[in-house]
Amino acid sequence: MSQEHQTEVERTMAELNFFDAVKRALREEMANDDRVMCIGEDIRSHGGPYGTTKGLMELYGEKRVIDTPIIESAFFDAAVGLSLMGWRPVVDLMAADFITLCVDQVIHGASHYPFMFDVQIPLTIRGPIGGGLRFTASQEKSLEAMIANFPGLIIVYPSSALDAYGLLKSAIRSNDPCIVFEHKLLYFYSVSDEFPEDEFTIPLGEAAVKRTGTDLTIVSWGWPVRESVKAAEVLSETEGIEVEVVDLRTLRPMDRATILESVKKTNRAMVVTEAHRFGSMGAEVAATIQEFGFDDLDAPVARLGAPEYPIPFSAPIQDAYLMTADKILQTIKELLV
Amino acid sequence: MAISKETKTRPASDGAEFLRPSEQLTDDQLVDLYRDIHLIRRFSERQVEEFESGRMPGGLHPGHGHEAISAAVPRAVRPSDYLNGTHRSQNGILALRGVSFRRLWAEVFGRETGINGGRRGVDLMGTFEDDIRVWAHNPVLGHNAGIATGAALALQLDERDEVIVCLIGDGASVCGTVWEACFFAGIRKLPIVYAVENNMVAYTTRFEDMSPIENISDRASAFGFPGQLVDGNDALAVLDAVHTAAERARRGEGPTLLELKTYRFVGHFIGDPQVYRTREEVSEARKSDPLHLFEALLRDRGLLDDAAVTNIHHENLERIDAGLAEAMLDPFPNPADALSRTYRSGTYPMGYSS
Repeated sequence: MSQEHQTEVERTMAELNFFDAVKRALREEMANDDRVMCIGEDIRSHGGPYGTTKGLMELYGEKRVIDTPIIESAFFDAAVGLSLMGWRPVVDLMAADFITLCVDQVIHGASHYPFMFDVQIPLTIRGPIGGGLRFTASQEKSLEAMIANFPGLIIVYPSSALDAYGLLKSAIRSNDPCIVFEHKLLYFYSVSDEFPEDEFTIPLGEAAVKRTGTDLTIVSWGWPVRESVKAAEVLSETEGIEVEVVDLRTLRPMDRATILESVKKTNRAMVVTEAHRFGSMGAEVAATIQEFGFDDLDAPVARLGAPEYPIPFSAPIQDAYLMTADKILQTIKELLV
Repeated sequence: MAISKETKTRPASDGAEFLRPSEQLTDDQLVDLYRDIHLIRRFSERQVEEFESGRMPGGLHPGHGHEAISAAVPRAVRPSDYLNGTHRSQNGILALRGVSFRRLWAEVFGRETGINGGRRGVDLMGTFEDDIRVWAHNPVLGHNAGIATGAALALQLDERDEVIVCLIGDGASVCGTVWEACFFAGIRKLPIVYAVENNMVAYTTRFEDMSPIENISDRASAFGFPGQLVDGNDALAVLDAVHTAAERARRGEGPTLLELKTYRFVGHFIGDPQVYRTREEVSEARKSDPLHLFEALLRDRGLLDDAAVTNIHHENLERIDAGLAEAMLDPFPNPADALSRTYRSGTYPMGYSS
């Protein structure tokens, strides 16, 4: 991957791609708090599958960057144990899909213990998520809904370098267990933003309006936010339709106010996700809009999501599976034109 | 398959020196150990009585037969060391680490004053309070070992002097997480003792039907640390073995896998028809009842007689029932307070309430 060969020295502080943004957040938070540590597979010399933890051991020592064998079940448990002993582990998942191997620790440990035992679990889990790289279903699925159902967890899913940086820092500083999904295409296409030189954070639980509009509200997160904005630009130019794009950024807790405020203005809503529609976060958003913003709606809330089969390998069938600006565009035309 | 009667404590597989703190116990300390074994048995019996009366909510998994382990483990280590029991040993260990019977009973009966505020319930309770250090049992079996291994990693990273003793049931002992944790602890020489309470049956599955080898302790060789077979009905043997393993861990020499062979005299749950074993097998095992074995030992040594035994039994029951009486007057938790416990780090814009 090309960004692995770029260094921070070569670029100005003004612009950082997604990869460097995550890396900068990790470095700063490890510098800010000596209880922050990283644990996972191949994170020391290799830096994890996308290189984000590369160099951390040299900077902060072997104690704070710990390589494990392929033992997700045990090292996730261990991260819960470390949290209970006052560490702030950042657990590196090689692929977000592997959370299935440690969902017990996330649910019965991280999400339950604070409630049951009056403790804090200041744990952050980072996992590369989503499709587009032809890794197929065991490494490209969207499984945010699976854990979003459990109170006690905070679920973060940025769509830009700036958000990834600010939200990861907030997650690491949070005393609640946070799961941060990083969409792999954000790495792959080296998505960049202008960065201020000073440190900053973005509060957990606050959505962002990524494009303003008056005719329809799209609620989305992760890579599909970018596809939504792309579709909105085309619709603006070709049809004069102005679409507002709300990026949830944090899935749980969900920023209901920002969603409802937008729908109040546009009177139409569509949820756009890479995940399946059935039993999804998209369903949660749609239900929320209908429950609390029913009077503002001129039409039922539309939902776009993945077809009901696992994400496949081959380019044409994978592309047909993924959420694209074109799909969004066509759907909005059908709804509004 | 051999049950505990035939089990002889075997030296650790690495041949390291076996410490015997049991030989230094004073007469009073020996009587205290008996008192504790009985206290734990009686507490468990009282829970069964309350459960059978229909007053007690939830489920109950008594540990009759495990008391030598519950009583000896806290004695084998320092008060500052960490312990993590199983659903059968946890209640007793909590009591011996100084949690009052009022707080324990209050949890059993779902009261606000319970050790977990009535949110966890009997035989899953535990606490991360720093002056008790008896970590809660995780009922998804095997995960105790992983969480305790994380604690051991923290102790190592912080260069602390304490160790953690993680008790594991024989049922949980086959879980992948346990062996993943053992790999990790072996690689890093973590200050942890894995101690399997092997009571020969997991729920309704007999040990020989889930383990291809006779002794769990033999599995340790795969992880590069010693394994040791211990008669789990012999409180003094448990004391010595756990102490030896804990001191080894404290010296930085890494984990030990202890197999404490014992027997569960009662069903997995109250009302378990126990079709997986015969009455004869249970009667035979009861001949090695850790409470009776230890009582006989102390009678032989002239440390106990009928009057002393009666007195201890009476005092223990009084302690237990005094706590019960107090707990039953305690209030139930207020549902309105529950929501505020979900998150720790302040208020987020939306999202908790629905």
